[in-house]
Amino acid sequence: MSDVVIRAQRLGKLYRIGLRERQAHQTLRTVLSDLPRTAWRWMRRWSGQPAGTRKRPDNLLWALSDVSFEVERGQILGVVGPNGSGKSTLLKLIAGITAPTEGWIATRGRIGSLLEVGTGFHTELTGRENVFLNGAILGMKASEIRQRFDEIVEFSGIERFIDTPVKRYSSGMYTRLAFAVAAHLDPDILLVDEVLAVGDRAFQRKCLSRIENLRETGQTIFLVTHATATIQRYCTRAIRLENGRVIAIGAPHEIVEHYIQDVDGVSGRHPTPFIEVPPPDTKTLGQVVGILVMDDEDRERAVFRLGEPIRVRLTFELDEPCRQTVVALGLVTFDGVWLTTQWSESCDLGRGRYQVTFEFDAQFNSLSLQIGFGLSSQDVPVHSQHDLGKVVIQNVFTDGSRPRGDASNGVVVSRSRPGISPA
Amino acid sequence: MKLETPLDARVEQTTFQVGDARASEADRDALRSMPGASINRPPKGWPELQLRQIWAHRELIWFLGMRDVLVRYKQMFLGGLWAVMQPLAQMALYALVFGYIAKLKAENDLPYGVFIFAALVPWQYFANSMTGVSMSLVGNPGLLQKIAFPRLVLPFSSLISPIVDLTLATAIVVVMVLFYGPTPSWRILLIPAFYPLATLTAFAIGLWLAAINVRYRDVQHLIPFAMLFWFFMTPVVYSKQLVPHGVLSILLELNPMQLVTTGVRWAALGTDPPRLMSFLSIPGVLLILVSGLYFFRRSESSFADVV
Ligand SMILES: Nc1ncnc2c1ncn2[C@@H]1O[C@H](COP(=O)(O)OP(=O)(O)O)[C@@H](O)[C@H]1O
Ligand SMILES: [Mg+2]
Repeated sequence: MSDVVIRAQRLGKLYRIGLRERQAHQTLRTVLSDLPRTAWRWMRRWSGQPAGTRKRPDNLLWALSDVSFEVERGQILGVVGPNGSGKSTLLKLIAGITAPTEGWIATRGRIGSLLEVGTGFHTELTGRENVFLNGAILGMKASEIRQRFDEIVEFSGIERFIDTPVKRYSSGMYTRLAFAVAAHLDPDILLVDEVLAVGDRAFQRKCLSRIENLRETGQTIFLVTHATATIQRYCTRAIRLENGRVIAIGAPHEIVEHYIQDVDGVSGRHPTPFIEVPPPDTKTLGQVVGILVMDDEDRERAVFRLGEPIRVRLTFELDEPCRQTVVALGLVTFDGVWLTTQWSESCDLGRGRYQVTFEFDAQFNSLSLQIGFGLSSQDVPVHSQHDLGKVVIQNVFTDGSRPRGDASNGVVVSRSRPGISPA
Repeated sequence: MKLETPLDARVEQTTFQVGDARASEADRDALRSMPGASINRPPKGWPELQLRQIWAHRELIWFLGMRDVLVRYKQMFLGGLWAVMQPLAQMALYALVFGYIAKLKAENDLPYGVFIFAALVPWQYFANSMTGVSMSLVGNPGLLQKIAFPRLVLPFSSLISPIVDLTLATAIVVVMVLFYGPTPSWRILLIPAFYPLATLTAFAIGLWLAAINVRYRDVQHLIPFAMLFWFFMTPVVYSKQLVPHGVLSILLELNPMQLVTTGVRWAALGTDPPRLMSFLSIPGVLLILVSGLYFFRRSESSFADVV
């Protein structure tokens, strides 16, 4: 008997989009004025006729379609794909949080889902109370929680604050405690959705080593993360999703490398407005209208090898004159850490369109970086944003050799290999 | 430690039987290698109630209920006192308006405040419970979107915290009876006997509203109006004897909350006992309860998507 623990067949999930927005703005006034329309909608719904929204196909979105796969016990599966590709939806279907529209998914064993850190935490309650509450929410029995309570608190490293209301915690402490509870869940199948990105590095490492331990006990793990290095290092298999479809399943390093190469790092969504002057006289001061990532011969490119120069040309428009303006551009990790920043010279700018070209060296171990942008002038406060575009740095030098280590050994890559000599 | 039935929390948990008409030949082959698996698939037809699942999750219900209790009593400066102050203040106001100004008569010439308070306590409990149940889903979007558990856990857990207020308020009723009421008799022990009907009514109607609320947020704005209406259609601030005989008095008898308030007054103050006819409301409540459970189970597969 094969040891399949998850099997999905032609799994599909259809979402009705736009529905939420309409409801979010309901107020008493709109309710009353909409009453005839609402009543009509209900009547149609209950008489079996599809409501108006169902007819318009542009309101429908297949978040997943025709997904089939199987997973054997003990595998650690990495899931990669751009935002909106259906990764979270897949985890929700595995967990049974929502039902599929088509197909089915069968699972064997107890499932622990960690789709969010600290679901159900209440800020008024103390750390201790939250551990019990969150544990119960994640599916632990009270006796289990009691038995592991000391372990949990030790793992979190916040013994001193365990009887303090969580609202007095720093966000780091909050995350640690929430994570500690989740880490002591003992499921057969563990689903983790992009939550490793929060928390500091030391704590992340602690969690990953915990995941490694889990593998030894034969647990099956689904890991959704943007940290492709993590997938390469910890997973035994990887799945790549694109627009709700599985486009590749296989060895983690192959999947990740193809994924990185295909990512269009260059063009973001433009124009991107910047600097909103706060109300009452709200206006945008200008917008970024183009960002071009190139190599040193001005050819557009998104993927670089270690050591190659990266040129980023930023084009922006100013709707208002700005005195002593400085533009900054930087490379930012997905957790929002600015790895390096360059500043333009400072000058007075009138209305109009400008461009500035920055040059960096691809010497960072973080596989995929965002381009961050900042602007400040004498007249307005500093404005910065992280997600203007993307650059992918491959984990390989220009000559094809590979560096030692990964992001956990430091972000800046060094080529030097000093020799060892008798002293 | 493992749960006895794996994944008993799942939205749709059924096992394909070999020979199940809904499973294709290929599906059946695929599943044969996974004995005991839980299956998540599109919901079809009428769901099973699976109340045993709820029992299996009693600890979660308890913890969520205690969360509400703790939060409520921590946030409030006066803590438990508030649970008592609120109905007392209302009693004072109603006694002023209906007893002193409108000069309504209480049964057996009881002090009007005491007469109101005995009925106000179960009414408040009912109103709190029903509002709690009907908001239990929309008030916990995080849980619905990120965690798999039987959705009925939420309405059940929201029944817990109103009980704390009820207990405190009932103690005040007893104290009042001892001071101002007639000589207490053994009947005072029967006060709590009427509470379960209030719980049941609140739960039955709350279930419907909770499920509808997820999809149509507008409903929650109608609840306060409906409650106000119901409040005055229940003998709380007036005596049932004042209602002229006719259609209205018959409707009143069929209101389950009338049975509760009249019953509690009878037990606490020795007024007229509820009429036999008013017990007819109980099957009505049960009908709403069972249909509400089915309606809830039927709509629950989309809660995570639309909440
Ligand atoms: N509850 C929902 N209602 C409507 N659309 C949704 C809902 N949840 C997800 N979607 C849509 O489904 C698509 C896939 O979402 P998701 O699985 O969260 O992607 P990912 O996790 O890969 O970023 C997105 O386009 C998203 O907008
Ligand atoms: Mg996601």
